[in-house]
Amino acid sequence: MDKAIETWGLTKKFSPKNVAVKNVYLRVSHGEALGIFGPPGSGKTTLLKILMGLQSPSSGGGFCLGYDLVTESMQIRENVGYVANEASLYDHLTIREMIKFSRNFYSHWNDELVPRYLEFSNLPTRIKIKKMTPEQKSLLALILALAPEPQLLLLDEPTLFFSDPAYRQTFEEIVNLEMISQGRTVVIASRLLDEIKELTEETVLIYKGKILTRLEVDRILEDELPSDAEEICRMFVEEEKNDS
Amino acid sequence: MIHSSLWFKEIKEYRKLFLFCLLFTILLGIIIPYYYDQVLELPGNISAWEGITASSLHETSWLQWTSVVLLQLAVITGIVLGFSSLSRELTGQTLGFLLSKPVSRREIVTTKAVVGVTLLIFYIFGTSLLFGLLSWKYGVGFPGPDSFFLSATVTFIISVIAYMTAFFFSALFSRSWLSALASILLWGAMFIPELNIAYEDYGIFSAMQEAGFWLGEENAFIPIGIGIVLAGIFYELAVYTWSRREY
Repeated sequence: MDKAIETWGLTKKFSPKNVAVKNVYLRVSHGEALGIFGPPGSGKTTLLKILMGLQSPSSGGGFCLGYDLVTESMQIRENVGYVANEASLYDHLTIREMIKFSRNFYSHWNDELVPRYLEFSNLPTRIKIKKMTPEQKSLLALILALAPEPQLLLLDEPTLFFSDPAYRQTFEEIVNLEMISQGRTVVIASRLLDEIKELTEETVLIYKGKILTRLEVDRILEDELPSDAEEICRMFVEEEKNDS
Repeated sequence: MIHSSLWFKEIKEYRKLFLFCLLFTILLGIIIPYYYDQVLELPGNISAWEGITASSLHETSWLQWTSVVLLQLAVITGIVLGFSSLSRELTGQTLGFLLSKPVSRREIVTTKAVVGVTLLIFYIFGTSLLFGLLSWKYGVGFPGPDSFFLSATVTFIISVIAYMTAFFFSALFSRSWLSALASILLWGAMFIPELNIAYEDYGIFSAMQEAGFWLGEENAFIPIGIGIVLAGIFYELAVYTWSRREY
Protein backbone atom coordinates (compact mmCIF):
# COMPACT_ATOMS: atom_id res chain seq x y z
CA MET A 1 0.00 0.00 0.00
CA ASP A 2 1.78 3.11 -1.25
CA LYS A 3 -0.84 5.55 0.01
CA ALA A 4 -1.44 6.61 3.59
CA ILE A 5 -5.11 7.15 2.77
CA GLU A 6 -7.06 5.75 -0.15
CA THR A 7 -10.85 5.87 -0.37
CA TRP A 8 -13.34 5.11 -3.09
CA GLY A 9 -16.97 6.11 -3.34
CA LEU A 10 -17.08 6.94 0.34
CA THR A 11 -20.61 7.96 1.30
CA LYS A 12 -22.16 8.60 4.69
CA LYS A 13 -25.93 8.92 4.94
CA PHE A 14 -27.42 9.73 8.34
CA SER A 15 -30.88 9.81 6.75
CA PRO A 16 -32.13 9.98 3.13
CA LYS A 17 -32.06 13.78 3.35
CA ASN A 18 -28.93 14.09 5.46
CA VAL A 19 -25.95 12.91 3.42
CA ALA A 20 -22.80 14.14 5.14
CA VAL A 21 -20.23 12.68 2.73
CA LYS A 22 -20.92 11.94 -0.94
CA ASN A 23 -18.89 9.64 -3.13
CA VAL A 24 -15.47 10.72 -1.89
CA TYR A 25 -12.37 9.50 -3.68
CA LEU A 26 -9.33 10.61 -1.71
CA ARG A 27 -5.68 9.68 -2.02
CA VAL A 28 -3.02 10.93 0.35
CA SER A 29 0.58 9.79 -0.03
CA HIS A 30 2.84 8.89 2.87
CA GLY A 31 4.61 11.99 4.17
CA GLU A 32 2.16 14.33 2.53
CA ALA A 33 0.42 17.19 4.34
CA LEU A 34 -3.04 17.80 2.93
CA GLY A 35 -5.75 20.29 3.80
CA ILE A 36 -9.47 19.68 3.67
CA PHE A 37 -10.93 23.12 3.18
CA GLY A 38 -14.66 23.68 3.44
CA PRO A 39 -17.36 25.71 5.19
CA PRO A 40 -19.13 24.55 8.35
CA GLY A 41 -21.36 21.53 7.72
CA SER A 42 -19.55 20.50 4.55
CA GLY A 43 -18.66 17.02 5.88
CA LYS A 44 -15.08 17.57 7.06
CA THR A 45 -15.53 16.13 10.54
CA THR A 46 -17.57 13.17 9.30
CA LEU A 47 -14.90 12.39 6.71
CA LEU A 48 -12.17 12.49 9.38
CA LYS A 49 -14.25 10.27 11.69
CA ILE A 50 -14.65 7.73 8.90
CA LEU A 51 -10.90 7.84 8.25
CA MET A 52 -10.34 7.18 11.97
CA GLY A 53 -12.75 4.26 11.90
CA LEU A 54 -15.07 6.03 14.35
CA GLN A 55 -17.96 5.98 11.89
CA SER A 56 -18.75 3.41 9.24
CA PRO A 57 -19.42 4.56 5.69
CA SER A 58 -22.89 3.84 4.30
CA SER A 59 -21.25 2.79 1.03
CA GLY A 60 -17.83 2.81 -0.52
CA GLY A 61 -14.68 1.94 1.35
CA GLY A 62 -11.03 2.56 1.76
CA PHE A 63 -7.81 2.05 3.61
CA CYS A 64 -6.00 4.16 6.15
CA LEU A 65 -2.33 3.26 6.63
CA GLY A 66 -3.12 -0.01 4.88
CA TYR A 67 -5.92 -0.91 7.30
CA ASP A 68 -9.51 -1.34 6.20
CA LEU A 69 -11.69 1.54 7.38
CA VAL A 70 -14.51 -0.72 8.49
CA THR A 71 -12.94 -3.90 9.78
CA GLU A 72 -9.61 -2.69 11.17
CA SER A 73 -10.51 0.48 13.04
CA MET A 74 -8.60 -0.58 16.16
CA GLN A 75 -5.33 -0.85 14.21
CA ILE A 76 -6.05 2.53 12.60
CA ARG A 77 -6.51 4.20 15.98
CA GLU A 78 -3.31 2.60 17.27
CA ASN A 79 -1.40 4.40 14.49
CA VAL A 80 -3.33 7.62 13.97
CA GLY A 81 -3.32 10.75 16.13
CA TYR A 82 -6.50 12.84 16.25
CA VAL A 83 -7.06 16.35 17.58
CA ALA A 84 -10.51 17.93 17.38
CA ASN A 85 -11.37 21.62 17.51
CA GLU A 86 -12.64 21.67 21.05
CA ALA A 87 -10.16 19.44 22.77
CA SER A 88 -12.35 18.21 25.61
CA LEU A 89 -10.20 16.36 28.07
CA TYR A 90 -11.19 15.08 31.49
CA ASP A 91 -11.52 18.15 33.69
CA HIS A 92 -11.13 16.30 36.98
CA LEU A 93 -7.70 14.94 36.09
CA THR A 94 -4.38 16.76 36.38
CA ILE A 95 -2.11 17.02 33.35
CA ARG A 96 0.11 14.32 34.81
CA GLU A 97 -2.88 12.00 35.28
CA MET A 98 -4.13 12.79 31.79
CA ILE A 99 -0.76 11.77 30.35
CA LYS A 100 -0.79 8.53 32.33
CA PHE A 101 -4.37 7.90 31.24
CA SER A 102 -3.52 8.29 27.53
CA ARG A 103 -0.28 6.38 27.71
CA ASN A 104 -1.89 3.13 28.83
CA PHE A 105 -3.93 2.86 25.65
CA TYR A 106 -0.91 2.47 23.37
CA SER A 107 1.66 -0.24 22.87
CA HIS A 108 4.21 2.39 21.89
CA TRP A 109 4.75 5.71 23.66
CA ASN A 110 7.63 8.19 23.42
CA ASP A 111 8.36 9.11 27.04
CA GLU A 112 10.76 11.88 26.11
CA LEU A 113 8.39 13.69 23.77
CA VAL A 114 5.77 14.68 26.32
CA PRO A 115 7.96 16.60 28.83
CA ARG A 116 9.87 18.17 25.94
CA TYR A 117 6.77 19.65 24.36
CA LEU A 118 5.13 20.51 27.65
CA GLU A 119 8.17 22.67 28.31
CA PHE A 120 8.20 23.95 24.73
CA SER A 121 4.55 25.02 25.13
CA ASN A 122 5.06 26.40 28.63
CA LEU A 123 2.34 24.13 29.96
CA PRO A 124 2.25 23.52 33.70
CA THR A 125 2.14 19.88 34.81
CA ARG A 126 0.53 19.99 38.21
CA ILE A 127 -2.71 21.83 37.55
CA LYS A 128 -6.06 20.25 36.79
CA ILE A 129 -7.35 20.24 33.24
CA LYS A 130 -10.34 22.39 34.21
CA LYS A 131 -7.99 25.23 35.08
CA MET A 132 -6.40 25.28 31.63
CA THR A 133 -7.39 27.65 28.83
CA PRO A 134 -8.91 26.16 25.63
CA GLU A 135 -5.60 26.87 23.86
CA GLN A 136 -3.61 25.01 26.51
CA LYS A 137 -6.04 22.09 26.31
CA SER A 138 -5.61 21.91 22.53
CA LEU A 139 -1.83 21.95 22.89
CA LEU A 140 -1.99 19.18 25.47
CA ALA A 141 -4.33 17.17 23.21
CA LEU A 142 -1.80 17.58 20.39
CA ILE A 143 1.11 16.43 22.57
CA LEU A 144 -0.92 13.42 23.72
CA ALA A 145 -1.77 12.60 20.11
CA LEU A 146 1.90 12.79 19.10
CA ALA A 147 3.37 10.79 21.97
CA PRO A 148 2.52 7.36 20.45
CA GLU A 149 4.44 8.55 17.35
CA PRO A 150 1.54 8.15 14.93
CA GLN A 151 2.11 7.59 11.23
CA LEU A 152 -0.79 9.89 10.44
CA LEU A 153 -2.12 12.96 12.26
CA LEU A 154 -5.70 14.06 11.66
CA LEU A 155 -6.50 17.60 12.77
CA ASP A 156 -10.07 18.87 12.86
CA GLU A 157 -10.02 22.67 13.01
CA PRO A 158 -7.56 22.41 15.88
CA THR A 159 -6.89 26.12 16.37
CA LEU A 160 -10.30 27.46 15.38
CA PHE A 161 -11.06 28.96 18.77
CA PHE A 162 -7.56 30.18 19.56
CA SER A 163 -7.63 33.82 20.57
CA ASP A 164 -3.89 34.10 21.19
CA PRO A 165 -1.82 33.85 17.96
CA ALA A 166 1.24 32.76 19.96
CA TYR A 167 -0.52 29.52 20.88
CA ARG A 168 -1.44 28.88 17.24
CA GLN A 169 2.18 29.39 16.26
CA THR A 170 3.34 26.95 18.94
CA PHE A 171 0.76 24.43 17.75
CA GLU A 172 1.95 24.69 14.16
CA GLU A 173 5.60 24.49 15.16
CA ILE A 174 5.03 21.26 17.05
CA VAL A 175 3.14 19.70 14.10
CA ASN A 176 5.95 20.77 11.78
CA LEU A 177 8.71 19.44 14.03
CA GLU A 178 7.13 16.13 14.93
CA MET A 179 5.19 15.21 11.81
CA ILE A 180 5.92 17.12 8.62
CA SER A 181 9.72 17.45 8.96
CA GLN A 182 9.92 13.77 9.88
CA GLY A 183 8.07 12.71 6.76
CA ARG A 184 4.90 11.66 8.48
CA THR A 185 1.45 12.31 7.07
CA VAL A 186 -0.82 15.13 8.22
CA VAL A 187 -4.39 15.88 7.20
CA ILE A 188 -5.92 19.07 8.50
CA ALA A 189 -9.57 19.96 8.02
CA SER A 190 -10.64 23.55 8.47
CA ARG A 191 -12.95 26.34 7.44
CA LEU A 192 -10.03 28.77 7.83
CA LEU A 193 -7.43 29.07 5.11
CA ASP A 194 -5.03 30.52 7.68
CA GLU A 195 -5.11 27.24 9.57
CA ILE A 196 -4.38 25.19 6.45
CA LYS A 197 -1.78 27.34 4.71
CA GLU A 198 0.76 27.12 7.52
CA LEU A 199 0.89 23.33 7.46
CA THR A 200 0.08 22.20 3.93
CA GLU A 201 0.86 23.01 0.34
CA GLU A 202 -2.16 21.30 -1.12
CA THR A 203 -5.80 21.17 -0.17
CA VAL A 204 -9.02 19.64 -1.35
CA LEU A 205 -12.20 21.66 -1.35
CA ILE A 206 -15.19 19.99 0.23
CA TYR A 207 -18.72 21.31 -0.13
CA LYS A 208 -21.98 19.64 0.87
CA GLY A 209 -20.14 16.37 1.36
CA LYS A 210 -18.50 16.34 -2.06
CA ILE A 211 -14.84 16.85 -2.89
CA LEU A 212 -14.89 19.58 -5.55
CA THR A 213 -11.26 19.79 -6.51
CA ARG A 214 -7.71 19.52 -5.31
CA LEU A 215 -5.48 22.55 -5.62
CA GLU A 216 -2.31 24.15 -4.31
CA VAL A 217 -2.76 26.54 -1.41
CA ASP A 218 -0.42 28.99 -3.15
CA ARG A 219 -2.83 29.11 -6.07
CA ILE A 220 -5.58 30.36 -3.80
CA LEU A 221 -3.26 32.99 -2.41
CA GLU A 222 -1.52 34.06 -5.63
CA ASP A 223 -4.56 33.99 -7.92
CA GLU A 224 -6.44 35.90 -5.26
CA LEU A 225 -9.18 33.32 -5.11
CA PRO A 226 -11.63 33.83 -2.23
CA SER A 227 -10.11 32.79 1.08
CA ASP A 228 -13.56 32.30 2.54
CA ALA A 229 -14.45 28.61 2.37
CA GLU A 230 -18.09 29.14 1.39
CA GLU A 231 -17.21 31.61 -1.39
CA ILE A 232 -14.45 29.58 -2.97
CA CYS A 233 -16.56 26.41 -2.90
CA ARG A 234 -19.50 28.17 -4.54
CA MET A 235 -17.15 29.52 -7.19
CA PHE A 236 -15.98 26.01 -8.05
CA VAL A 237 -19.54 24.69 -8.05
CA GLU A 238 -20.50 27.41 -10.53
CA GLU A 239 -17.47 26.60 -12.69
CA GLU A 240 -18.42 22.94 -12.65
CA LYS A 241 -21.96 23.78 -13.73
CA ASN A 242 -20.73 26.00 -16.55
CA ASP A 243 -18.30 23.33 -17.76
CA SER A 244 -20.99 20.70 -17.90
CA MET B 1 -11.94 -6.70 28.99
CA ILE B 2 -11.31 -4.09 31.69
CA HIS B 3 -9.05 -1.20 30.82
CA SER B 4 -6.84 -0.19 33.74
CA SER B 5 -6.43 3.41 32.64
CA LEU B 6 -10.15 3.89 32.22
CA TRP B 7 -10.75 2.14 35.53
CA PHE B 8 -8.67 4.66 37.50
CA LYS B 9 -10.19 7.57 35.61
CA GLU B 10 -13.69 6.37 36.47
CA ILE B 11 -12.85 5.75 40.13
CA LYS B 12 -11.44 9.25 40.41
CA GLU B 13 -14.44 10.71 38.63
CA TYR B 14 -16.93 8.95 40.92
CA ARG B 15 -14.94 9.40 44.11
CA LYS B 16 -16.81 12.44 45.42
CA LEU B 17 -20.26 11.22 44.42
CA PHE B 18 -19.61 7.84 45.99
CA LEU B 19 -18.38 9.38 49.23
CA PHE B 20 -21.41 11.63 49.31
CA CYS B 21 -23.77 8.63 48.91
CA LEU B 22 -21.87 6.71 51.57
CA LEU B 23 -21.86 9.56 54.08
CA PHE B 24 -25.51 10.33 53.43
CA THR B 25 -26.43 6.71 54.03
CA ILE B 26 -24.36 6.48 57.20
CA LEU B 27 -25.81 9.72 58.52
CA LEU B 28 -29.34 8.58 57.81
CA GLY B 29 -28.59 5.21 59.35
CA ILE B 30 -27.50 6.90 62.56
CA ILE B 31 -30.35 9.40 62.67
CA ILE B 32 -33.18 6.94 62.06
CA PRO B 33 -32.48 4.51 64.94
CA TYR B 34 -31.89 7.41 67.31
CA TYR B 35 -35.08 9.11 66.18
CA TYR B 36 -37.05 5.94 66.87
CA ASP B 37 -35.25 5.38 70.16
CA GLN B 38 -33.03 2.67 68.70
CA VAL B 39 -35.59 -0.13 68.66
CA LEU B 40 -38.15 -0.22 65.92
CA GLU B 41 -41.45 -2.01 65.92
CA LEU B 42 -41.65 -3.77 62.59
CA PRO B 43 -44.94 -3.88 60.70
CA GLY B 44 -46.87 -7.13 60.82
CA ASN B 45 -46.63 -7.89 57.13
CA ILE B 46 -42.87 -8.31 57.14
CA SER B 47 -43.02 -12.10 57.11
CA ALA B 48 -41.62 -12.24 53.58
CA TRP B 49 -38.41 -10.82 54.92
CA GLU B 50 -37.91 -13.47 57.53
CA GLY B 51 -36.11 -15.51 54.94
CA ILE B 52 -33.65 -12.75 54.30
CA THR B 53 -32.48 -12.29 57.82
CA ALA B 54 -32.15 -14.66 60.71
CA SER B 55 -35.29 -14.93 62.81
CA SER B 56 -33.37 -14.01 65.95
CA LEU B 57 -32.90 -10.54 64.57
CA HIS B 58 -36.53 -9.50 64.69
CA GLU B 59 -37.34 -6.07 65.85
CA THR B 60 -33.86 -4.72 65.84
CA SER B 61 -32.90 -1.46 64.26
CA TRP B 62 -30.31 -3.31 62.24
CA LEU B 63 -32.95 -5.54 60.65
CA GLN B 64 -35.13 -2.54 59.91
CA TRP B 65 -32.16 -0.79 58.49
CA THR B 66 -30.82 -3.51 56.20
CA SER B 67 -34.13 -4.85 54.98
CA VAL B 68 -35.93 -1.61 54.29
CA VAL B 69 -33.97 1.62 54.55
CA LEU B 70 -30.67 0.45 53.10
CA LEU B 71 -32.49 -1.35 50.32
CA GLN B 72 -34.23 1.81 49.20
CA LEU B 73 -31.08 3.90 49.53
CA ALA B 74 -29.15 1.24 47.63
CA VAL B 75 -31.58 1.45 44.71
CA ILE B 76 -31.23 5.24 44.70
CA THR B 77 -27.43 4.97 44.92
CA GLY B 78 -27.42 2.48 42.04
CA ILE B 79 -29.38 4.92 39.91
CA VAL B 80 -27.19 7.87 40.94
CA LEU B 81 -24.01 6.00 40.01
CA GLY B 82 -25.38 4.66 36.74
CA PHE B 83 -27.60 7.25 35.10
CA SER B 84 -24.82 9.34 33.55
CA SER B 85 -22.08 6.75 33.29
CA LEU B 86 -22.00 6.61 29.50
CA SER B 87 -23.94 9.72 28.48
CA ARG B 88 -21.54 11.88 30.50
CA GLU B 89 -18.84 11.21 27.90
CA LEU B 90 -21.14 12.72 25.30
CA THR B 91 -22.41 15.71 27.28
CA GLY B 92 -18.88 16.42 28.53
CA GLN B 93 -17.64 16.21 24.93
CA THR B 94 -14.91 13.80 25.96
CA LEU B 95 -16.26 10.98 23.81
CA GLY B 96 -14.29 12.01 20.71
CA PHE B 97 -11.07 11.93 22.72
CA LEU B 98 -11.88 8.56 24.29
CA LEU B 99 -13.01 6.87 21.08
CA SER B 100 -9.92 8.09 19.21
CA LYS B 101 -7.89 5.76 21.45
CA PRO B 102 -7.37 2.13 20.45
CA VAL B 103 -10.03 0.75 22.75
CA SER B 104 -13.21 -1.10 21.83
CA ARG B 105 -16.59 0.17 22.87
CA ARG B 106 -17.30 -3.09 24.68
CA GLU B 107 -14.14 -2.54 26.73
CA ILE B 108 -15.31 0.97 27.65
CA VAL B 109 -18.79 -0.21 28.63
CA THR B 110 -17.43 -3.18 30.60
CA THR B 111 -14.93 -1.08 32.54
CA LYS B 112 -17.53 1.51 33.45
CA ALA B 113 -20.03 -1.17 34.51
CA VAL B 114 -17.47 -2.97 36.67
CA VAL B 115 -16.46 0.29 38.36
CA GLY B 116 -20.10 0.93 39.33
CA VAL B 117 -20.57 -2.61 40.66
CA THR B 118 -17.32 -2.37 42.64
CA LEU B 119 -18.44 0.87 44.27
CA LEU B 120 -21.76 -0.76 45.16
CA ILE B 121 -19.93 -3.64 46.84
CA PHE B 122 -18.11 -1.18 49.10
CA TYR B 123 -21.31 0.77 49.64
CA ILE B 124 -23.57 -2.14 50.62
CA PHE B 125 -21.17 -4.32 52.56
CA GLY B 126 -19.44 -1.34 54.14
CA THR B 127 -22.62 0.22 55.49
CA SER B 128 -24.12 -3.17 56.47
CA LEU B 129 -21.02 -4.02 58.46
CA LEU B 130 -20.94 -0.60 60.06
CA PHE B 131 -24.55 -0.78 61.19
CA GLY B 132 -24.17 -4.35 62.31
CA LEU B 133 -21.38 -3.17 64.57
CA LEU B 134 -23.43 -0.17 65.75
CA SER B 135 -26.38 -2.43 66.61
CA TRP B 136 -24.09 -4.72 68.52
CA LYS B 137 -22.57 -1.79 70.42
CA TYR B 138 -26.01 -0.52 71.43
CA GLY B 139 -27.12 -3.91 72.64
CA VAL B 140 -29.64 -4.92 70.00
CA GLY B 141 -27.55 -7.89 68.89
CA PHE B 142 -25.05 -8.41 66.14
CA PRO B 143 -26.35 -10.39 63.16
CA GLY B 144 -24.90 -13.82 62.62
CA PRO B 145 -22.54 -14.23 59.66
CA ASP B 146 -25.17 -16.04 57.59
CA SER B 147 -27.85 -13.43 57.99
CA PHE B 148 -25.41 -10.61 57.45
CA PHE B 149 -24.24 -12.20 54.23
CA LEU B 150 -27.73 -13.01 52.98
CA SER B 151 -29.30 -9.67 53.77
CA ALA B 152 -26.44 -7.62 52.39
CA THR B 153 -26.19 -9.86 49.34
CA VAL B 154 -29.85 -9.48 48.45
CA THR B 155 -29.63 -5.72 48.92
CA PHE B 156 -26.48 -5.68 46.78
CA ILE B 157 -28.14 -7.66 44.00
CA ILE B 158 -31.13 -5.32 43.88
CA SER B 159 -28.83 -2.28 43.80
CA VAL B 160 -26.80 -3.82 40.95
CA ILE B 161 -29.96 -4.39 38.93
CA ALA B 162 -30.98 -0.76 39.61
CA TYR B 163 -27.49 0.37 38.59
CA MET B 164 -27.51 -1.67 35.38
CA THR B 165 -30.92 -0.37 34.31
CA ALA B 166 -29.74 3.22 34.83
CA PHE B 167 -26.50 2.29 33.05
CA PHE B 168 -28.46 0.96 30.08
CA PHE B 169 -30.53 4.15 29.95
CA SER B 170 -27.29 6.16 29.94
CA ALA B 171 -26.33 4.26 26.77
CA LEU B 172 -29.77 4.71 25.25
CA PHE B 173 -30.16 8.45 25.85
CA SER B 174 -27.57 11.05 24.98
CA ARG B 175 -28.74 13.35 27.78
CA SER B 176 -28.15 12.38 31.38
CA TRP B 177 -31.38 13.87 32.69
CA LEU B 178 -33.37 11.64 30.33
CA SER B 179 -31.67 8.51 31.61
CA ALA B 180 -32.19 9.69 35.19
CA LEU B 181 -35.88 10.27 34.49
CA ALA B 182 -36.29 6.87 32.81
CA SER B 183 -34.58 5.15 35.75
CA ILE B 184 -36.71 6.97 38.32
CA LEU B 185 -39.92 6.13 36.43
CA LEU B 186 -38.94 2.48 36.05
CA TRP B 187 -37.91 1.99 39.66
CA GLY B 188 -40.76 4.13 40.92
CA ALA B 189 -43.10 1.78 39.09
CA MET B 190 -41.40 -1.19 40.73
CA PHE B 191 -42.31 0.18 44.14
CA ILE B 192 -45.97 0.85 43.40
CA PRO B 193 -48.30 1.50 45.16
CA GLU B 194 -46.33 3.14 47.94
CA LEU B 195 -42.78 4.07 47.30
CA ASN B 196 -41.63 3.29 50.82
CA ILE B 197 -43.15 -0.17 51.08
CA ALA B 198 -41.07 -2.26 48.74
CA TYR B 199 -42.32 -5.55 50.07
CA GLU B 200 -46.03 -4.93 49.53
CA ASP B 201 -48.06 -7.00 47.10
CA TYR B 202 -47.25 -4.98 44.01
CA GLY B 203 -43.58 -4.48 44.75
CA ILE B 204 -40.80 -6.18 42.85
CA PHE B 205 -40.02 -8.40 45.82
CA SER B 206 -43.43 -9.98 45.96
CA ALA B 207 -42.58 -11.63 42.65
CA MET B 208 -39.34 -12.88 44.08
CA GLN B 209 -41.22 -14.49 46.94
CA GLU B 210 -42.06 -17.28 44.52
CA ALA B 211 -38.45 -18.40 44.47
CA GLY B 212 -37.30 -21.02 46.91
CA PHE B 213 -35.18 -18.55 48.80
CA TRP B 214 -38.18 -16.54 49.77
CA LEU B 215 -40.06 -19.57 51.03
CA GLY B 216 -37.61 -20.13 53.82
CA GLU B 217 -34.81 -22.12 52.25
CA GLU B 218 -32.40 -19.25 52.79
CA ASN B 219 -30.43 -19.92 49.67
CA ALA B 220 -28.62 -16.81 48.53
CA PHE B 221 -27.78 -18.32 45.16
CA ILE B 222 -31.31 -17.82 43.84
CA PRO B 223 -31.35 -14.02 44.16
CA ILE B 224 -27.69 -13.97 43.09
CA GLY B 225 -28.61 -15.96 39.98
CA ILE B 226 -31.59 -13.73 39.24
CA GLY B 227 -29.36 -10.68 39.73
CA ILE B 228 -26.61 -11.96 37.44
CA VAL B 229 -29.09 -12.78 34.66
CA LEU B 230 -30.92 -9.44 34.90
CA ALA B 231 -27.72 -7.39 35.24
CA GLY B 232 -26.20 -9.37 32.36
CA ILE B 233 -29.19 -8.62 30.13
CA PHE B 234 -28.97 -4.89 30.82
CA TYR B 235 -25.19 -4.97 30.34
CA GLU B 236 -25.54 -6.62 26.93
CA LEU B 237 -28.27 -4.15 25.99
CA ALA B 238 -25.95 -1.29 26.96
CA VAL B 239 -23.09 -2.72 24.87
CA TYR B 240 -25.42 -3.30 21.92
CA THR B 241 -26.91 0.20 22.12
CA TRP B 242 -23.62 1.99 22.61
CA SER B 243 -21.79 0.06 19.89
CA ARG B 244 -24.37 0.96 17.29
CA ARG B 245 -24.65 4.65 17.98
CA GLU B 246 -23.02 7.16 15.66
CA TYR B 247 -20.95 9.89 17.29
